[in-house]
Amino acid sequence: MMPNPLMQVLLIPLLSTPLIYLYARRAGKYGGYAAAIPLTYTLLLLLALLNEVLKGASHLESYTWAPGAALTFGLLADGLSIWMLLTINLLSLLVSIYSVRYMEHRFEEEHEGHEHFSKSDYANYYALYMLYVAGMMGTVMATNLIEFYLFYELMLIPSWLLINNYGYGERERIGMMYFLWTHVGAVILLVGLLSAYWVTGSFEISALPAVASSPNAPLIAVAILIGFFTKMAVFGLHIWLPYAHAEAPTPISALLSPAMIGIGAYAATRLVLLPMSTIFSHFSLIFSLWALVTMVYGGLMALAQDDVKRFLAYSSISQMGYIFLGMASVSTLGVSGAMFHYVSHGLGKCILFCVAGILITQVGTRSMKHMGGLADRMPLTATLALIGVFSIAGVPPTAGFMSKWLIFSGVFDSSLPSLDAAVFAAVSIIMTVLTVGYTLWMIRRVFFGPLPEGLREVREAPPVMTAPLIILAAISLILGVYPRLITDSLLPLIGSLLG
Amino acid sequence: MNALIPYLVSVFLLLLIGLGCLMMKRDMIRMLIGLEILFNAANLNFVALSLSRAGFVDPLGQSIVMMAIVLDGCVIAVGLAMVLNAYKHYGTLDVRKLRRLRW
Amino acid sequence: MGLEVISTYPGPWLAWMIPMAGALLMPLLAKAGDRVRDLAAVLFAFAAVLSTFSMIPWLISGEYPGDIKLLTWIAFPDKPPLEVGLLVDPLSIIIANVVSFIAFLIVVYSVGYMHGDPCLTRYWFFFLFFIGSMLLLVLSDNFIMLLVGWEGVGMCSWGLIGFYYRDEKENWLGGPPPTPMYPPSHCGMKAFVVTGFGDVLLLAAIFIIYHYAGTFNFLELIEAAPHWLSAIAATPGLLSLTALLLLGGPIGKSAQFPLHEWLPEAMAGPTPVSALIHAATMVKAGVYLVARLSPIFYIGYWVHGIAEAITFFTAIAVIGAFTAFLAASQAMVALELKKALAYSTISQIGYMMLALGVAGLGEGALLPGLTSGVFHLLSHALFKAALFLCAGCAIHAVESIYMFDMGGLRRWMPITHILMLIAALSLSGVPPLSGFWSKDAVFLSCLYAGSPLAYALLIVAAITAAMTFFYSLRFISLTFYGEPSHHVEELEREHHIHEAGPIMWVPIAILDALVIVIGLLGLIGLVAPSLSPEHIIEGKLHLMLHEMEIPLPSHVAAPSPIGTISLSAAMLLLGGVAGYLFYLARRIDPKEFVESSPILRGIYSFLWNRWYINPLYYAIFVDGLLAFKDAIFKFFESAVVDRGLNEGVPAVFTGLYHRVKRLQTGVLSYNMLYIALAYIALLLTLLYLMGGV
Repeated sequence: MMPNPLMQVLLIPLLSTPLIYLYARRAGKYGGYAAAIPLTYTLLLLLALLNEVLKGASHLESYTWAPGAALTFGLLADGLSIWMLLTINLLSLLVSIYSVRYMEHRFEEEHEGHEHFSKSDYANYYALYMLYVAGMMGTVMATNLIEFYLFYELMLIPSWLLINNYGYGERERIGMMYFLWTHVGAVILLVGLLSAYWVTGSFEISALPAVASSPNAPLIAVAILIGFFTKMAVFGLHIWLPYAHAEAPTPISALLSPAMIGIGAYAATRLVLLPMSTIFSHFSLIFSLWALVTMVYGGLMALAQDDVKRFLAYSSISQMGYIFLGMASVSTLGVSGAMFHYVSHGLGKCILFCVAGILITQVGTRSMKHMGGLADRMPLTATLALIGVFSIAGVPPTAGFMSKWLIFSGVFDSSLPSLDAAVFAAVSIIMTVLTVGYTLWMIRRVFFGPLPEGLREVREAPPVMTAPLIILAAISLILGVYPRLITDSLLPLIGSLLG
Repeated sequence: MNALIPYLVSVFLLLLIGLGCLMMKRDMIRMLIGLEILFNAANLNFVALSLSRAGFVDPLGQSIVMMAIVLDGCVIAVGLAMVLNAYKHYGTLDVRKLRRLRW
Repeated sequence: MGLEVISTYPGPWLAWMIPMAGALLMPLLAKAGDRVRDLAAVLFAFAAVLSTFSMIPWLISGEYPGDIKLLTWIAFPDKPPLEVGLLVDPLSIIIANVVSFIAFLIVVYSVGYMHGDPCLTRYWFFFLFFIGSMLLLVLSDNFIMLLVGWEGVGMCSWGLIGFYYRDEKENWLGGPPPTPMYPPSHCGMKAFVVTGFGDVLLLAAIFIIYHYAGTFNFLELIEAAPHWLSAIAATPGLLSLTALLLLGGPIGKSAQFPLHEWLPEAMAGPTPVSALIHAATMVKAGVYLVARLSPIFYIGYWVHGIAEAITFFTAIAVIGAFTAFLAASQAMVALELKKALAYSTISQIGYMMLALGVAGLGEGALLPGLTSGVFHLLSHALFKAALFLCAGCAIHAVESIYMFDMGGLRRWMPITHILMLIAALSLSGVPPLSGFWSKDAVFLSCLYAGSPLAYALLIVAAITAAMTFFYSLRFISLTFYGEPSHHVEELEREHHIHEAGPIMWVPIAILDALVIVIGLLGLIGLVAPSLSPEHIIEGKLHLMLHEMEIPLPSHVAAPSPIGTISLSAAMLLLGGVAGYLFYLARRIDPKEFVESSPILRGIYSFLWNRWYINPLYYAIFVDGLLAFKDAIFKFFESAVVDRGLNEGVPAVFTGLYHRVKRLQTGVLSYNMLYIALAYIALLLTLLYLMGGV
């Protein structure tokens, strides 16, 4: 067993950033493979930790940071955060391999006509990518409010730069939009965090339950939650997401959408829902309604899109609605289902965004009006897209089925025995048919029907782009058939923390 | 303290005159004179307050005024040099013509 | 518990695992060559048959394993765990055998029918996965595993209906114009979404039940039924809601009103698919689930007096009877052969649901109701599969889905004609074929129930029986009798219309043979009751209910069968005479008949437009939804939220900036003014803070 595995998980991507930068300046697109190496190593570390965690233990490392300000730098891997870490790590690893071909296409497109363009673009991209991944991992492992906030903002900056430099459309404006939205939310979050410090006297997350005794507790909880809701893009605070996720370079969209916005949900669970569950339950009704509106609204707007990436972005909003609904139920099954849904949605949405990227590189367009019948030319991509879609719509045997029924079981658990609440829960579950509808509709528009003349020469994507997706699909199917991998560690933890 | 009131009132009046001069005059030389009046007000303030304790003259106040007078002279000298250069550049002594440091 | 369970009871486990494994292996086997692949598909299906046949000894002996568990699937912290397990009892053994046997015959048929299709690997994948999922559904011992099978068959159904996903014109169905025509990919989506709607209702009910019962396992639910049923009933209205939600799944999957509109469109799939999925097996999944759950609600109402529990039976009985009538009326005017059979399926499943519904409407009706439901399921599966497979032969030969393009095919396809005729007669309930006995059993169970509602539903069912004979005669004669149509004559000139090959008609013949055998057994059973199929099934189900400790009344007054037989005979006469006059003897021209009066024309167009239900659904859920989302996107998302937040907020700040920047005039005097004002403000603040002035 390696010493300090979590610190390694955090530091190795950070420290390898300059090495990858230098390597990519020489090797160009192969920087993606170089980026995969530290990520593979951290994945193996995390898998070794998983073994430990599945037996019920949680792994905590503490380092002194600023004793004068009573701050310790802690890293925690318990039944909840280990799954976030594994998902983020796995997704980043596979997407970095995927980026090899995709970013080559992007830069060729960008520098069209120029014979030699400098490889510094690749170097910047992969360096920023590693920083982004390190930021996300740190957020999920943090045990300390200031450390958490540090990593929260740290994951914002590289992603902003990536959108700003390598995105599509009006990328500077959209990058600024993305940054400002998240940042304003983060500032409100900071106000909440500092007020929590002021009440409890400590920056540790484990000290947060003491906030519940303060008369200002609801306000503090709401302030903290607003920051996370902005990140999760719930209805009302969602308008930045379609722009950011559609115009970001597709591998980054494949990380932004599945991994990063779910961190908002994780953080809301870790910082507010679990420590201050009684206060959170006061808002349960409003949050449930809000979640339902988000779910339905995201689905409806997804139907109205022609751009495949915007479609997937709105679909993410709807899926965050599912997770929010699970959280709002404040029941063991619901919250566990929500966190499980992070994993299953992460897998499915990453597959779908990568498929969108394949469509961009192979077909050359993002507009679904101009697609159709592509299952003929790209059968493997079509199958992978189908598995991704089933994972999101909750069709067995994918992981989405497991997470979806856990969420709704929790929603019903908390709403009964009231008849009105049961009817609300039934309505919310009926609305999930919308997800089935819009996902199948997209599959039909892109892959079925007659093949247009101009697309007869489309070829299947190269293995470097499809192999990562096959791995993701396989994992989604494995988790769907054997969910105990996740639920054994997640359910008892949430159950005990919710009390 | 009561004995000082006339002096403090004159300081205040001088301040007003100086500020008003800076606000309302458009000739640069006149503004320098206004500036000078402000300096004198400050110096007078120090001198007056050095007499605040009966029967004792605070040497600190007096020495500050000595240094201030020297410094005021330097400031005015520099100011005159700037006015000269501005006149050479803009061809006029009207300070309202110097408005390039705007939005 | 534990993996040794598979070696102790291999049959039930292998029955669904082998086809699923076969499905996953299909891409690999395809690399070995088409013939290897097709042979492998047949072998996998045969293996499923062997596995389910191995369970029949348990059925005969009465010693069945019951609930066998394999491993824990999800461990809950404070509740009993969810286990992977199978419930092997007479109900599931009977239905599993029906499924696997008919599936095997249809796999053999497919080898002939789909020969030469380039995408056959994908076909076998979905087909075998379907067989595995369906068997899993029937054999599973808890709700969640049932749902896995349930959604699995839904997915395979989607994949197989939309099999011709390229939407070539020849695969569209509907019409003739101006009635809209739909491409296969649309039909697949429609099926998945409509049944998905039913599925989520079922899910809702399962979660409500789980909250009160703490378990998903069927046997545990039956055992603890009094406890959790009364807990739910403590909230007024909740049990009725739960019962209705619970029925939502079967209503969707079995295409009953109001979720019946997907089945006619499902005919876009290849005919073997229609035969297997949409006639013989998947649509029976709903019937199976209702049968599985009926003991629970029976105990609730008749033994423990929980009033709301009867809603379960009332609802499904009414829906079943109404659907039977609705669909039969539509079958009378259908122009596509497969559509007529699809409506017929919906109608016959209505009979099964009616039987299961009246099972709970009378204290002594549970056993007769369950028996007749299961018997009709078995009987219908046989003859309907045969009908579809014959239709496939006819459509294949004539290269058209419309009956007006057929006619007089008896001359060129004698075998298909005989086979289809036998099956059609069984459908209509002509004695002594199996359909007669099973339909009679359904009528009888209505009499067992004895309540006014049951009698009223019996009348509806009887009228439907008349319509059934009418439309059966109609589609048989339009296809096989009379003058050949222009289309047929043209085809005959180009290349002779010929009979299907043995690989296609032998499975149909086997099905028809079984129909005849069961019919004859029913006849013999009049004198030797122990040989009557109905009696056999009743005995097994009686044993099953006894093992579940369902208290059945010891003495049930059996209503006289003379009543139902005379009713059946009267209805057959009614439908038969009408069918004879319109179609067999062509005495009355149907077209002239309909045009002769505005009322008849109105009725005709009402029936042709599917009682306007389908257009209504499209208007609300498709057109309405699409218009709604476009409107919201244009007027709310883009105009209000996007412009308001992404453009409005920056505009506010830039507006503010433009105004404030004008303070920087660059004129020194103004700056001095600002300094003076700042001094005054500072002075005043200091004075205020010091507490003076």
